[in-house]
Amino acid sequence: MSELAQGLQLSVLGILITFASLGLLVLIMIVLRELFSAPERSVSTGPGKEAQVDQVSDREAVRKRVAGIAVSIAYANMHRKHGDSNLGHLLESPPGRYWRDSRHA
Amino acid sequence: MKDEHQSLITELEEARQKIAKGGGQKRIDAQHTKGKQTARERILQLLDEDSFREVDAYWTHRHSDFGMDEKRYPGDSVVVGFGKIDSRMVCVYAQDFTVLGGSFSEVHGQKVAKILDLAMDSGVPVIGLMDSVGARIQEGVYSLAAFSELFWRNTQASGVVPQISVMLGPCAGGSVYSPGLTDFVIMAEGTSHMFITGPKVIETVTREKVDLESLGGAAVHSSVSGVAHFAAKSEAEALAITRRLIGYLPSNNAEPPPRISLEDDPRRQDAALNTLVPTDPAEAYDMRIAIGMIFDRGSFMPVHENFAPNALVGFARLHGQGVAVIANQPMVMAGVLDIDVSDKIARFIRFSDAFNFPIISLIDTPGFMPGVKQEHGGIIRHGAKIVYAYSEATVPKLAVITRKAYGGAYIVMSSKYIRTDMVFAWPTAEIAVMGADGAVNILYSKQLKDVQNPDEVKQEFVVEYEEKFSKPYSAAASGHVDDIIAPSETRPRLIAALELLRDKKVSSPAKKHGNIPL
Repeated sequence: MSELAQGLQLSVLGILITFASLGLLVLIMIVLRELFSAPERSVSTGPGKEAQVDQVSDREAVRKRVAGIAVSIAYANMHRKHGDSNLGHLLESPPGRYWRDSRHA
Repeated sequence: MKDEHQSLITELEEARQKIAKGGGQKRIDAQHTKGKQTARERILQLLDEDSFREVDAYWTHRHSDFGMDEKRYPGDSVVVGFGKIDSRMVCVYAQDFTVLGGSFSEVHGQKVAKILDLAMDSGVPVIGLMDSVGARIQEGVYSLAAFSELFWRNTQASGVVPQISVMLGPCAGGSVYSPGLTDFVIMAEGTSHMFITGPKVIETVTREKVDLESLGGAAVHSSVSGVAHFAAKSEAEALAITRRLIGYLPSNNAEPPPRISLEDDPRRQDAALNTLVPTDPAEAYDMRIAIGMIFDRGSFMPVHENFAPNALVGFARLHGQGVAVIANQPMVMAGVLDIDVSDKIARFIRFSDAFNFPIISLIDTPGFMPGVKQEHGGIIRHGAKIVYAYSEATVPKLAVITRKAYGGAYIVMSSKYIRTDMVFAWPTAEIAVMGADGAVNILYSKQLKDVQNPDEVKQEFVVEYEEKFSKPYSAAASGHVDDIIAPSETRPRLIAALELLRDKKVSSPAKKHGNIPL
């Protein structure tokens, strides 16, 4: 395979992965939106002051939700960086044959 | 059931009732009056409910001199058997003071020897509950021979199964050597005493006047002589300490220490550790705080707590794994190494190595104690025990230098080259031949004599020296420590290192045995 073809192949693969990830994120957002949808509120009939207040509070709620998700993701990332989730796992089972054999040497 | 069968059962029940009475109700009452329990009551308190199985309860002595033919009690002066502590098997013997003062007879010795043999064959710990006036004089050399058998077995069992002596009454003369040979001695305050010769003999021979408590009580043996590893306020507390201690110990030398269920996060990092060590090297801090934050919460069980308190030794757990902790204590004499602390550390290392405890050392010591008393007392011989014990140990060995690691003390306290598997240093670590002040006095003595302002010049030299040695980076750059870690990282780093070393195997050169400088 020529270098050009290989490069193209990798580029296409990269684009596919990127779009697939984006699609996945969109899906997650839709699911989250469904799970945490704002309570129904009365829709004002006219373009009066009440409708404007509703729009502002709606934007604020979305902002808060986004901030909450961001904090959760940041916390999860931090935990992944600093904590070995398997730390101490090997101490939970008794020493293996390598140790046992040395006892009878 | 036929009448004949019923009478046989009745006879057995009557015999059992007689055995349970030991030396009789009168003597049991006398024992209670002294605030002491009987041998059987103690055993029942020590072991899990309904787990005790007595053996040799009918065995009586066969001597008739000095009217002994009229003083025969089934089981003689000791109750032996086996049972469970926290569902783990132990062998136990309890001297029965209600039978001829718990005196050590030929049969007494044979019964104890038998339970020790069973313990060694089965690989289970042995616990002796001591309360005896000593050798049974009426039996003469038979009693002494029985003692010899016991001491020989104590020695054979050493390093094979854990042996614990709980002192709940008098223990004098030759009989003290049995507890002296065991791994742990627990004494009850007020009721237990240990000595080779009593106050009267001492006064006759040396004209020294001393009372029973000051000579061989729990307080003196747990803080001055180091004979006792634990001092308990009461019999009940002594037995509770025994139960707790057994919880840390493996049943024999072929088993790892028992694990317990996990209640503490292995990744826990206490930020307070980062500020525990003062930046001023002359300022003290409590190493117990570091131990509490590094190991599983509440798991540290100090051994020899009141003896040589300039070092702490004891058992703890890391992610549920039993470990031996050895730590200098900067709060007491700056954590200096002296004769007593050398003995304390070396003995604990040897026990830990024999019973598969990984050894974790926390180091902050300015060196060995200077002084004529120490030198004439043999600090060279005693200090050598530490380096011998560390070098000989083949279990996983980890060290954390928290601050000072100077000179010979750096070498003996689990340094890398006596085969410590991993040496960590906190940023506060100072690894040098000696402290800055002393080193400058030696290195620049001539220059300091010739200058007009020696104090100012000396201060400059001190700063220069400290720059080089008061931080661990130069030691790490030359491989003398494996890593420099933030104090708060100590716990996860030790756990990770223990994981690596879980199956550690080391081969030693063939020999009959080494020759530790005793």
